[in-house]
Amino acid sequence: MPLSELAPGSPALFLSCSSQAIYPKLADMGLIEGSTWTVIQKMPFHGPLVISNGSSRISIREEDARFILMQKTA
Amino acid sequence: MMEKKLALVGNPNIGKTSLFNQLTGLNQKVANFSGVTIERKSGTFSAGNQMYDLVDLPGTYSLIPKSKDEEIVARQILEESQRPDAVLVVCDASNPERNLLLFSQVADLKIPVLVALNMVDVAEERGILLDTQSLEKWLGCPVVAINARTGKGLNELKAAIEKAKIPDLQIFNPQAVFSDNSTAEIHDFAHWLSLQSGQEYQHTESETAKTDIKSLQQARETVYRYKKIKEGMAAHHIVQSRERGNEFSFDRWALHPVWGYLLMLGILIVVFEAIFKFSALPMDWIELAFGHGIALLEQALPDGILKRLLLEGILAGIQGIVIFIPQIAVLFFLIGLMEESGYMSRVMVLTDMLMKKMGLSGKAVIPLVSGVACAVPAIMSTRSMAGSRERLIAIFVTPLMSCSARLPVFTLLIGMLVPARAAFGPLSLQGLSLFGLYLTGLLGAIATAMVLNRLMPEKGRSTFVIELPPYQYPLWKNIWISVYQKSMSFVLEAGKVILAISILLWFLAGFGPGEQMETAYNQSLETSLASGMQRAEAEQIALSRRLESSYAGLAGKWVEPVLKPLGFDWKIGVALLTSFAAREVFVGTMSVLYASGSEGETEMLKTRMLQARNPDSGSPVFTGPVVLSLLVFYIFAMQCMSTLAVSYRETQSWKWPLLQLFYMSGLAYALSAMVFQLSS
Repeated sequence: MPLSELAPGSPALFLSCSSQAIYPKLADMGLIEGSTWTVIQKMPFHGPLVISNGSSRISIREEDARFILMQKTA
Repeated sequence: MMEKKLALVGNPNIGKTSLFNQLTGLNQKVANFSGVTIERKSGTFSAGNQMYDLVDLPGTYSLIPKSKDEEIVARQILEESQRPDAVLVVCDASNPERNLLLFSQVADLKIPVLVALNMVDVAEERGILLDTQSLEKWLGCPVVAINARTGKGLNELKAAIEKAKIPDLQIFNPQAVFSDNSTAEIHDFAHWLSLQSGQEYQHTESETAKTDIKSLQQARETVYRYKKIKEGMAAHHIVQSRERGNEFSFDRWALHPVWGYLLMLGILIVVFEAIFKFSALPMDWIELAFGHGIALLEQALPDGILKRLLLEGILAGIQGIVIFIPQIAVLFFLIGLMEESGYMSRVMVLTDMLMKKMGLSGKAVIPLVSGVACAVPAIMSTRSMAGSRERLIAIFVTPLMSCSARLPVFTLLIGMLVPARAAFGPLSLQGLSLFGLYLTGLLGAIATAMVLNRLMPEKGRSTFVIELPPYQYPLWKNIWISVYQKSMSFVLEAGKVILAISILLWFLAGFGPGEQMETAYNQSLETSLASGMQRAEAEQIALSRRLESSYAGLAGKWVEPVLKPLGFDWKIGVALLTSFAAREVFVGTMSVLYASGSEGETEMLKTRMLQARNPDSGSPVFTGPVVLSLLVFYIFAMQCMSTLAVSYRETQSWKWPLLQLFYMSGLAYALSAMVFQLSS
């Protein structure tokens, strides 16, 4: 499911990103195939999301998060 | 002995600046990278008998250029003329994979490298244990554990610089990454990197259908690197243990949907208050010091035109620059505090929603907040913004934020319009009115950005991807160095323009055609003295008559018809013209025109202005509608040469500063006319 629809608190595997505008940037920051991320916070009124892999936290806009496919683990 | 060139490279927010400051202290130079307006900081230090010239390159996650900042990093290392003797890569021990990504790219450029592994001790406390010796063996270049905050390991780092070597770890492998036919022509990583021009990626209409090959290749190359790094780290047992720390726990409050916003609002109000509270005293000192200095020189120097130029042109101009340093320093101290602690990026997340509607992103918070002190450093702070479109919008609307130069004008005019009464609680009516003026400016900036966002051609949506660094206790040394450099850039950038204009205005206000000025002065003095007036007062009035006949006075009369719809007379016209250098000059000019003695006595000036009558009709000059119209004018008008100069420098064209000038002055004119016509 898209990252934008992931519920806060449950970890998920990064599968792919279909937006060329953000994919290289995300890859730099470690959002790559096989990495696990958790949504920490969703800002109100469709504001940006904050996600974490344990060692770093990244904020992405909800509209960009729609292009990121994740798979829930466990 | 020859100075050796060393480049400092590392991820953002991992203590790169701290290391730079530790190594070079105040031996720093701030300039621009050639051809672009990105700050280039360099500094010198010695290790053993060798002098090193250290260049601090912008913080980046990768050498593959995705913004102007990142392009610089790759270019500085690759270009023949810039090529450093060695690269010092700073890595954060608590996030080894991501930091080694950048290291591996530098390593692939086949240049001598030295790794400073920062915060090993802190990472250990957080539960991440790294084996530095295994890391050194695997990478094949010196790895020195340091703590850039405390200075631990710095001597070892200096001693290791000469041992920097081309790392054994080489990851680049075009055959493994790229499926297209072009791989045969790629010589090495440096060559491939040079093919990745610094284009800005934007969302296109049909996102999934049209995926740019280049960006896909870039991502694939990065993913391959991460894979190799993870394998290597596992094989060499780099990470001994990894547990989760709690360095992000404050986010529970800072990013809370309700408390997060309230906290941010509270902090911004404190910042706003502090700019005025903490700078009031030093500003008084500066005024006093200049007052004394000018008085001393007045007595010591022989009379003549040079003395007048020095005292009324040059020194007055320098005072006009120095007086703003306290406010600018306080603001950048607070902004530095917010950046150093990690809170600023949380503010960006909180405000991104609003900013998006204006075609901006959360990153625009820094220029907009800085604009409350001065648009000049605020516009310079837009350099870190990725998209040029977003950056142009931010530069365009920042001068609409009410800066500290508007404050003396606002204070004078509010004092004339609003009674000094308490409203409710600790708030006064005048204080609330002032807040209203700032709010009007902010709303003007928001509305303008929204309109610009509609008008400017859009290549696609803007993006916003930022890292939220772990919270940390601010390092005072970093903040002080940043405050010093920002204040200096204001003095040098805005200062020279203010000084030049102030000398020009001195000339325009001090000279007039023929002998008219002297005649006017003498005639007025004679008439006043004949009517039994005190000499001091008579001289003040005569000075005002003198100014009336100067070039500046004539210009004021010349523009009077144009200003009629706003309710302004020629005296206001003169003040508008003179305050084009800097807004606060309005008050000084009014003091001279209304013969109210020295600049400090605003009470007297206020009374004089309120008593002023129109010589033809006998009605008061400064009626409510006129003062209101003036207030509106000063909220919106681009009365600042320094801002225009900085806009020119930052956009590298006259198009934007001229647009700003005509838009803001036009808006001010129209709104002032409207307010005046409706209220009178």
